Amino acid sequence: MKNREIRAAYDRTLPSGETKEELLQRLLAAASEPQAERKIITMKTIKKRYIVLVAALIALALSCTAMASGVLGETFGLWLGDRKVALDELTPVAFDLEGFLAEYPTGIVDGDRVFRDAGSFTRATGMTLPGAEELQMTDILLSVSKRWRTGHLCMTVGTGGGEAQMNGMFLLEGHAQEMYGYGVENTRADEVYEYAEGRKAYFIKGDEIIQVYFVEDGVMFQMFVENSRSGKELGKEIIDRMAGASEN
Amino acid sequence: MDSSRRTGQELAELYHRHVDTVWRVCYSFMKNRADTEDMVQEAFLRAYYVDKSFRSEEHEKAWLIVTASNLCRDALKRAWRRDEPLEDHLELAAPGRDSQVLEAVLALPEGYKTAVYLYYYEGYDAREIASILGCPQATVRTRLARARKQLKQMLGGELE
Repeated sequence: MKNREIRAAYDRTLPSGETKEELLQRLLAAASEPQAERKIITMKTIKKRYIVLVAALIALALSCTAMASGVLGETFGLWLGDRKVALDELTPVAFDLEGFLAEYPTGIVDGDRVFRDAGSFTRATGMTLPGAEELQMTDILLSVSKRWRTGHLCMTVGTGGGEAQMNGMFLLEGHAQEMYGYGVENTRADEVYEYAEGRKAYFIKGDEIIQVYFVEDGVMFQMFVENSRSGKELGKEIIDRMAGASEN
Repeated sequence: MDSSRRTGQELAELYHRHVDTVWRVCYSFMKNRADTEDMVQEAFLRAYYVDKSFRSEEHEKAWLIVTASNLCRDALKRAWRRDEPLEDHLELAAPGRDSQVLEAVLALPEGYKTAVYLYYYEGYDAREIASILGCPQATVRTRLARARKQLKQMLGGELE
């Protein structure tokens, strides 16, 4: 693969000249408004206002449910077809935010920290990643939003026989019950993998990669493996090991 | 380049100088045109209102890249976050190798996207990227190495 292929890929995302000109006109219109009142003016934004209204009502309903069940968040952005799939609920994880902030005072919001392995990650955060003792987790990049009370991970996870890239997201105590999560819309799962105690992981195949969505120990994972038999088996092995570790 | 009192004309000139750059960065995060438009607009409005003088066009561009990246990351953190259907962006490219590369670039973890763009598209080296992003060179190298590894895993071959 050549670097020019990467550059060409970025260039393919560019809009037409007409679209750019329309965007400029909206930009100039927004800039002419008083700063305190300015809004992004797009059809998307107009539609979003309706969506936000609906989302607020849903959030209110979820809030009531959450208070009743003791669970802070119970919705995910993973849609398959026209339905939202029932991944496990997320509950805030044990995370030493104060200790983390003391160690990394700028390590929140727009700042990432990279930990070389799961052990150093746990020492800095007080949080144990599922499968930490069963898998090799390296170059763990952590980003924490104090404002939104969420944590985001990306890391390399190895079994000894193969490696996968993974993103993860978890909630901190005090999460505001806003909607959150990874997901795909109007996409059919090519395979649903049932593992420990009937929990489910969703495999969605692309041309070259398979995206896998599942939840373990309060972390919603998005895993990328090669679209091949061996890639799929690797994904299942990682899930099994994470689940095994979480049950011990 | 006094930016504290920009006029509409100056904003338009700023936009024409950098819209492609800001668009590429935002698209790599948002993965769809509608959200990208929102982020591009917001990034330029920040530049319009910010009380800051840029030393050069390069400084101006670097500031916009970092601002756009941060806006996108914040939007993704606070929002109901969906990866758009692949069809939404694959229609941008003809089937085949091009769409595979685009898919791979868009699938890179958020933490790598800005460094990858600065390195592979803008041609900055690790020291310059570290300066722009305000992080250690070692962190930049780690991100680039991991991104390269993921791209290789997804596409095969080697990057230059």
